Amino acid sequence: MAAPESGDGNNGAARMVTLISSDNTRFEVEAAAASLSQTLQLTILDGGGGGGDGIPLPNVDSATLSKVLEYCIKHAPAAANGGAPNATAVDRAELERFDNEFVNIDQSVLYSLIMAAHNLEIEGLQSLVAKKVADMIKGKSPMEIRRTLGFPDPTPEEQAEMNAHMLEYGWAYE
Amino acid sequence: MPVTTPSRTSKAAEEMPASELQGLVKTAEAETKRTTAAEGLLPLKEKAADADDPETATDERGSVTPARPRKARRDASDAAAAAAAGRHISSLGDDILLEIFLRLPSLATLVRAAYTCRLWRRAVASSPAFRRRFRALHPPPLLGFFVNSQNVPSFPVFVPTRPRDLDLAAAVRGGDFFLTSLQGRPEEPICWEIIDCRGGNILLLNSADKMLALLNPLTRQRERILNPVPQGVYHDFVYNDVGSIFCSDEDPMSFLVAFLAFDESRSRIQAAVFASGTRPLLRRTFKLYRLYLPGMPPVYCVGPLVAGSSGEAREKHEQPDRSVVFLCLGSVGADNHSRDRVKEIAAGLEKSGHRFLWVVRASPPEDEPENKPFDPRADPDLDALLPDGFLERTTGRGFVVKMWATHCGWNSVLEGIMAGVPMICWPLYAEQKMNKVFVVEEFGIGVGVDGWQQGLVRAEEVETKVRLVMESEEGVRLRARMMEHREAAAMATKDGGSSQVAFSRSLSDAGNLSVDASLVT
Repeated sequence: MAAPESGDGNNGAARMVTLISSDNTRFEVEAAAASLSQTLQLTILDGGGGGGDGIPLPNVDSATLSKVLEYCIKHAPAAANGGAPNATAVDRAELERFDNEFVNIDQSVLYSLIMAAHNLEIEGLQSLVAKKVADMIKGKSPMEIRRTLGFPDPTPEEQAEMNAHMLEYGWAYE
Repeated sequence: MPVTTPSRTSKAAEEMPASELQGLVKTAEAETKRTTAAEGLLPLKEKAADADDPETATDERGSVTPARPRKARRDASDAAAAAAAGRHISSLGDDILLEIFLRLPSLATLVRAAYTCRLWRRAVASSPAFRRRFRALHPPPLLGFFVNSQNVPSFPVFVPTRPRDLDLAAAVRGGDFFLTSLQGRPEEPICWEIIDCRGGNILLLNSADKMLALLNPLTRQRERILNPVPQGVYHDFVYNDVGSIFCSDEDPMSFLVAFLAFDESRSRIQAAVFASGTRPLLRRTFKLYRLYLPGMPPVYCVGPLVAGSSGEAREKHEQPDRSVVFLCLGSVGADNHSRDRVKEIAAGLEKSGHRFLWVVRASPPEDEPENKPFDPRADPDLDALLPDGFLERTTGRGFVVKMWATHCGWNSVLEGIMAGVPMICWPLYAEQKMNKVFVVEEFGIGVGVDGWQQGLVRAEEVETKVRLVMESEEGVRLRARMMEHREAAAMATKDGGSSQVAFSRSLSDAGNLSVDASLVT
């Protein structure tokens, strides 16, 4: 995981790979950053994505991919260090600030990020967006959760189920 | 620290049970089944409801009211827009959804989230792996302590930890931690003491009438009263507060309660096991005992131990298979063979018309002083004991053995099982009453005779039960169950069977033991 192929070129310049979004936009990015994706890592280790080839990502549009790469580039150095050991408190605080700001986004973008992080298997990002949604859910009643996340209003039957549940699990409600 | 001493007054910290999660799951699973059935019937409608794009958009617009704060309105309209585009958090797949749920801070938030919609509930309900992970990440919070009171009337007192967390405070408010349902029972005196606490359940012992109560204060689930004193059993045993609840993580409705009683010298132990679902087996009792009560002496289940067959039953072998009633009423109890009993048995056997083999012993002489020791080997005077003409009338189908026999109690039960014959149980004393409970109620391989508690079983009852076992449908079922037990017993005594293994282990452990190991046959 922490092997971003520095032995490949060994000439000082970081190795670059090209990623192609579903709407055919090409992104050139350091292999180390792209390798945060478990899905891409193997291809990159095999030497793919270099030169004119590029790695097609048919499930990710350019807006989302650009957002994902923003995350990867920010997190790549820390990941290359194997995470925490060398990171200073300042570095960590900076990453945390970045993460908080990063997920302060519209729900539609958040949804796309969730799907992309899942498809590309970027562990840190998966965790970040999942935490974001969990934060949106916590401290709310089922009705408030539905409103926040844009569910349709419950059918009378669903409403009855929710009421019955509140009676049964009174301790879980305030 | 509120409670640290291991004294009797400070028992049982009450925890928010992980099993609550499964309570939710249970309901949800039922729900899932219903929905699935509906899918089969109405695929189109169901599909439309799942996709719910147009509806979502409409409903969202409708639900945005001017009274809603700005933020909420923005969230909702965002969400509505996303829903309209078919890219919506509510449409996430189960895998991703559960990853999100794992990051919820507490069980209470998960319960609320799961009840947001059916799909979410189904996601939680259908993944035991998720529930295990959630439990591992969210250790149950401490709500408070129960303290057993020393005074009479005694009733446990709950001392909450006064959690700051709103959800936990709500949990304490919502539960019945004063155990009011138990307090309200007029049947039992107020002498309750908590003896175990697990998975949100507490187990209480009533020291006055020897009853156990199992209840869950958090869910306000009604208490279950368990009676470890099946009639006639345990009467000479001292009670100790050794009882344990075993509950399943996966099914909150299932439980196992084990309760141990000791005689005064502590040389004998009786165990009662209550299970919510399947019927427990004796073997299981001792397994639990060995596994979960490490402070107790080891128990080795070396049984069944039965001597090889003797030649005494030759008469039986000259009769058709499964046609002979075999009777014996024990070896050493002086009162076993009173004249009254012998007469009633004789009459019952005669009327039943079935073949029999009956071990008759000398009766204790009625005219002799009580203090003369009873000699079980004395030669019985059959003419005096049996009804007039009994031997003649039953010639050819009856055979009365004039001898001292070594059967009854647990040995007889084991021999009966090894031979695969259903039993008619007439317990007389000591552990035979308990054996009868095992044979009749636990194993289902025998029937009891009415009247044994009064000391005398009438001839009609003897006849009825003989006919029931020999002639009826129920007799066939008894026989079938008995064959299963016979096979199990045969397996146990083979090389590598449980009996052999336990016995070798007892030998190999013997070097490390000083006292108190008991062999269970």
